[in-house]
Amino acid sequence: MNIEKYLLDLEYKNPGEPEFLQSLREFLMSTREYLSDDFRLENAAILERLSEPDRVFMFKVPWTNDQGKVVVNRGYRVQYNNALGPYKGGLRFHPMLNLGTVKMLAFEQLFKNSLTSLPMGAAMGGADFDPKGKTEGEIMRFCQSFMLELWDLIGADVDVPGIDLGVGTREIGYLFGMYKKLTRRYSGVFTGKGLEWGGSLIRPEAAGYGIIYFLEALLNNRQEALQGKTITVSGFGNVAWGVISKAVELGAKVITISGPDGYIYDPDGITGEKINYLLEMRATHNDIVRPYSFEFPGTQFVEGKKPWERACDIAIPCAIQNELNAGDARQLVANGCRIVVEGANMPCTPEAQELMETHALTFIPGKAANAGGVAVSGLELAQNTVKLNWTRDEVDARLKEIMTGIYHLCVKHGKQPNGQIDFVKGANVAAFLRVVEAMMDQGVV
Amino acid sequence: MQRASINLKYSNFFAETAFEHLMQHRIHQVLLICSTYDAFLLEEDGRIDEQIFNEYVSLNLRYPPHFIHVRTAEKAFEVLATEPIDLVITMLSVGGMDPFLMAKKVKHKYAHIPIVVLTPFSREVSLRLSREDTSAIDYIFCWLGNADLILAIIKLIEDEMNVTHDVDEVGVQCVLLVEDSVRFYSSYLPLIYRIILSQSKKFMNEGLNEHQKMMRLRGRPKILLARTYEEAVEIYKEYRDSLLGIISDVTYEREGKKDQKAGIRLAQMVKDDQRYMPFLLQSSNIKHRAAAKELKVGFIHKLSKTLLHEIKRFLNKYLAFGDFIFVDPGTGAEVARVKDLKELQEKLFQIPDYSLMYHFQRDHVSKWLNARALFSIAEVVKHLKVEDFENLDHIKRFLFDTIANFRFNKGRGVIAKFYREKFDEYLTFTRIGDGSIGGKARGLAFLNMIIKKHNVFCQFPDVVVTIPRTVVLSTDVFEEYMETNELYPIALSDASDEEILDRFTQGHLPVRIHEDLYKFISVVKGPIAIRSSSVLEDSHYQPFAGIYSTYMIAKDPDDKVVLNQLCEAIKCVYASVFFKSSKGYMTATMNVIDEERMGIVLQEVVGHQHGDVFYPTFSGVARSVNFYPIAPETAEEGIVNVAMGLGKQIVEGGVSLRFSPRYPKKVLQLSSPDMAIKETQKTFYALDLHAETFKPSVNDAINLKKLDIKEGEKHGALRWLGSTYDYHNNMIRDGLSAKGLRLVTFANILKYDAFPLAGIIGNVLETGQKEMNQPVEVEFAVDLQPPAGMLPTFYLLQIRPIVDCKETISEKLEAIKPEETLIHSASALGNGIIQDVYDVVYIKTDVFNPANNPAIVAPLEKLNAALNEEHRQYVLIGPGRWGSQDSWLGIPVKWPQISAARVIVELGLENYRIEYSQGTHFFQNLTSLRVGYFNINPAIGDGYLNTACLDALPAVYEDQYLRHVRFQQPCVIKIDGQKSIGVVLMPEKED
Repeated sequence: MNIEKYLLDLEYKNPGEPEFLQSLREFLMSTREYLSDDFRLENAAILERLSEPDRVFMFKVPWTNDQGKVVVNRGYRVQYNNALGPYKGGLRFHPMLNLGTVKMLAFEQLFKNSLTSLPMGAAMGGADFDPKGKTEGEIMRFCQSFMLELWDLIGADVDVPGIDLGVGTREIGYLFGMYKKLTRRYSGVFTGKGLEWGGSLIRPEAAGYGIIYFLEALLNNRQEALQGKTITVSGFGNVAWGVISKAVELGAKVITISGPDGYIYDPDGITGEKINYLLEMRATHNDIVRPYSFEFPGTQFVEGKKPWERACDIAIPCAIQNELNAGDARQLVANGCRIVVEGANMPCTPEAQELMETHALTFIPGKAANAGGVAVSGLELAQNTVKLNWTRDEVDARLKEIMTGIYHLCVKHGKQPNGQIDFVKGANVAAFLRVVEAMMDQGVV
Repeated sequence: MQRASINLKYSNFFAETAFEHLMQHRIHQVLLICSTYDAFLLEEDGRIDEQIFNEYVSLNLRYPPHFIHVRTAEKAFEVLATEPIDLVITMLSVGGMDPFLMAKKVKHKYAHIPIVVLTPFSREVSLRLSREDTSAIDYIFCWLGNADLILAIIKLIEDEMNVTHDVDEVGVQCVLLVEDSVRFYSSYLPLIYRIILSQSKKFMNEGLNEHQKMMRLRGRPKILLARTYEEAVEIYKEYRDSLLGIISDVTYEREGKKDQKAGIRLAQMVKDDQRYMPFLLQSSNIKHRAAAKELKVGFIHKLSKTLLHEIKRFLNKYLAFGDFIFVDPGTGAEVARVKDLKELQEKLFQIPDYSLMYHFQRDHVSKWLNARALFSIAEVVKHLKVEDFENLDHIKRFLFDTIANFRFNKGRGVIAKFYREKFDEYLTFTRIGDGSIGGKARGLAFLNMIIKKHNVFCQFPDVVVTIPRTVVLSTDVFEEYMETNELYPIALSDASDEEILDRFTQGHLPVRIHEDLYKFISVVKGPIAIRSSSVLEDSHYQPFAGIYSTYMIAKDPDDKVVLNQLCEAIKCVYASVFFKSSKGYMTATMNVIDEERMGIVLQEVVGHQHGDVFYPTFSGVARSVNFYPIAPETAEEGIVNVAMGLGKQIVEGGVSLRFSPRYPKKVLQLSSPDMAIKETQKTFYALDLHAETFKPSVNDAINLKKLDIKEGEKHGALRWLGSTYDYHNNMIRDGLSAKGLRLVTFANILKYDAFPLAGIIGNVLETGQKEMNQPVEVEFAVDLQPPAGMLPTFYLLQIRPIVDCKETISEKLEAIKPEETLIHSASALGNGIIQDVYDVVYIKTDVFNPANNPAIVAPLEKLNAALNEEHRQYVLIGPGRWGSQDSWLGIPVKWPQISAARVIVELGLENYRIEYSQGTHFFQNLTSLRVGYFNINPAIGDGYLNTACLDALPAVYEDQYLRHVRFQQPCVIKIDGQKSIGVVLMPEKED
């Protein structure tokens, strides 16, 4: 098929939505090969159906601020695709939010959810409301007004909103409260709920744990174990914290963390109370890691440098976008690193990825490895459905299962002619296939 | 025989001096037109000073000048119509009418009443005065917060009223001051009067009785002010024989035009007429020194940092106000020194003849006596002719007898010195000493007054609103300390802060205050704060906040230890006047450092003891004007910053919680869990109660401890202020019942009204602003852990006016396209047009790394000093929060290090977006000094900065962090304060 012509048509149909179009373009490019091989797809107009959301809601959200003034915001809910399960996706409150962004996020959610193998479709929503500088009362009134419009469009088996930027447990609480009042039902219609009222355990750690489970599956596949491996990690936020805790639990040694000021080298490995200290440090030292070296003698703070200069078996960049460049990759190769797993959002530059590929260094993209968060949302819904609260271990075990499954899907669909695994392709194709097959099975709807 | 008769004759003459006829025209009633606060300062800060009170009593007048205060022009006319008014003093804070127009109307109707305009000193005011029609005004003075200016004004006007009579009748002496600069004569006059009065006081203590005290005061030298050449010549001719000396500026009006050499012409004229007439020229142009030398007159450079000190020296030496020094005319070496009449008498025979002759011939001795109102003896000495006596020895003998006669007849013993000892535990505010109490103390006294006057605080029945127990050491203690320990030379030198501190701590405080301090210590139960209260600090338009040091000392069971530490701390505060940063600040604010006098506020520290530390539950700073309102806040609703523990946290620019008293539940910093974690206070300051931790140091925080907020939780202080970050749910849960990380959110107070903070602050700001007729800044501390049975207390620690700019820019700045400017900000502070800036200093952003921030301070300081030296101002651009103590948030400069900056730009970078620097004292200084302040973040489309243009210019200075460039033409800066738009326009291209 002529993808360029197809994209031009899309541009015509979706003016002013560059984010959405860009996302579609990237997707088409990565699955191009597969698309041209499967003759059924064109006939069923799968691409056309995938580039059009099932439905889009756009509505006004009037609310009264603390001064008694009426303010009107715009709300959105894009129910993108429910081939695999009820629509599922976050709500975002951000002053710059527009329809193009919401559609783009909904589209990307489709494949993220699909990859987990859980029964979740895709949606996204939100409002151009800025929670910054608002009082709790204002936020509550806004959420309630928002829900007045949305309540009959969602439901545990219909559409399940969750958290995203500007929407956290507090906002979900207000939304859920209003939903309950309007429907007179108590159902798992949201994810990201408070632990005491239907939320799931292991949510903050999920992304980090997921990365390690994925890594473990990869090592197991190579008849290796995480036990005894030396890992360098960058960042010290949520993801890094989850990665370090699970890696250490499984017997690996994590020797670095980093911040904008430099990195910490801990030759004995970050364990026990040191891991707890990361959480404290995040809250007390304005993003810097230097205080760690004061707290734990024997560790070293290296100012202005990145941890990739240290010898390791595995590197997991969990800090910021583009933090690992070609130079860093070269150092990693030279220092004997064999696997790089992306913990943050696109931390490796394209040049770094290319260099890793040429040196047979295994590169696991975030797209494949950091599905842990989405997976736990799915598990939250599952618990709500069976009306049970699983223990940490139960959630953890299921998370492991899901991540191992994702690994195998990637291997299955990402195997290159040379025997190497292209994990990006693998993740994309696996996710896409699940959706396509379901759509085909369910007919033209 | 002959000698005896002469003696008798002159001694009779002594008794005939018609002192009772002197100073007949007095000012009894003054109409003061200004805000309540201004009036309060004048009346409270020493009832126009003890000196004026004493002088009036001694003159047997029944009342010291009575001040009738009105706030509006309308009221002023009512008073003028019904009361006999001798003088009108108006400040710029007149309600209802422009003060200049009002002056015209008053003059029109009451031509005989002198009108004085008293203005604060600032750029804006000078500009305004130059534009206004001041024809109806007799004198304009600028007020630097020193109450003795009022004394000087009254004395000057009275001197003018009485001079003709008093000189003709009794031979009262005069000093002629020729000066047309309001700024300078406002400094000199109080100084000269102060010297004259203190000289008189010395004589009083030496043995004059009440009657003679009256004589002395009535007969003290008068000061005559001339503002043009013609005026000066007229006064000179009229009082030629009664002039003690002349102090003259060089440039002033002659024949209707500014004459660059008017002073030199005057000096020439006088010297031709009277060779030995003491004459002091002073000029801001050092080149005139040569001309002065040629004329054999004194010269002082006006820009000298020791200007007033030098004038004092001149007055004492040449105008005979100080000790009389007999010199060897050949070498100029001192051969004898007498400080009073008694010593003159005693040493008369030891003085070498040649020296005595030299001084007699030049009338030095008679002038010296005249300056002390000893006219009768002066008269004798003046008319002594050597040829009337057989030899010089006879003259000496004669003089000796005359003096003895005078003293025998008139001496009545010493008047006992008066100590004030009113202090007991029921008094909230007392003072030790006779001088001014300084700005901070005045503010406190004012607060004390408004708390009593306004019962608005009664609406908070469960809270006590008060000021902490306070004792003020007035500025005379400082003066005495400086002089007796001879500290001025080291203080005014370029010595390091440490050296200055060292010398100061070696000095001794006047013994007389020890007993008072001891008593204070015995009454006070907790730690004591020793704070500066300078006469310049906190006066109108003079933002000195945070320039001088504040020390705290703990209580010790041994009062002697406390007394010793208290004395050390007082000396430290005195020393801080002369620290490098203060001197830099003085230069930047066009103040003269030796004009500065320091009062000391001793205050009980507010708070509660927790183990070995002491701190209030929280402290804060509130302003009645909000420079950065975030919708729906408005500028007029004010803004508050609060922090747990001692206020040092806020003063130092540390993290504090910002809220509008109108919307206490709307706290920007708590918008999301992430922001709340990052942008709330993590540590707080407390006083270390181990007495040994206090040592004299240039660091006033030497015995302060920085504690983690976890400690505050253990102490129970966090109970009102804390929330908890619930990690599992990624939520902030108010209160401390949940498990998780503690955050200082003040939620229980601001959201759940555990304490009516917003209400009280709202009231304080409203009342303070109303009483001062202008926006105010208030510091406070709150103790929520009072002893059992006591109420929580809200302590007001300080109030000061904020400069608020009312001028508006007529041009519509929003019409200017950002990309046509050098800098464009939609979040600008300041107001007006600045036309004389050529220089731009900017931090390089391509290599910017906040880890380097501390290293940028030193080169910046150096650059600032160099630009300051050249009287150049500049635009300063850099990332983050200027002046933050936390170097990760911005470059940690102190104000003196960037004092020549005229516009400061806080630049956000793509990955470096920091909250504005509102909430620090540093910021207050910037705004009060009218420094433009822009916030821009071009990376996110907020504001514009033409970096390419700056980079294209050749660097005047460049290093790895910063770059200094200069334009050929000025870059005009325009700021519209009401719309918050600020632009730095591209300089015009040269033809």
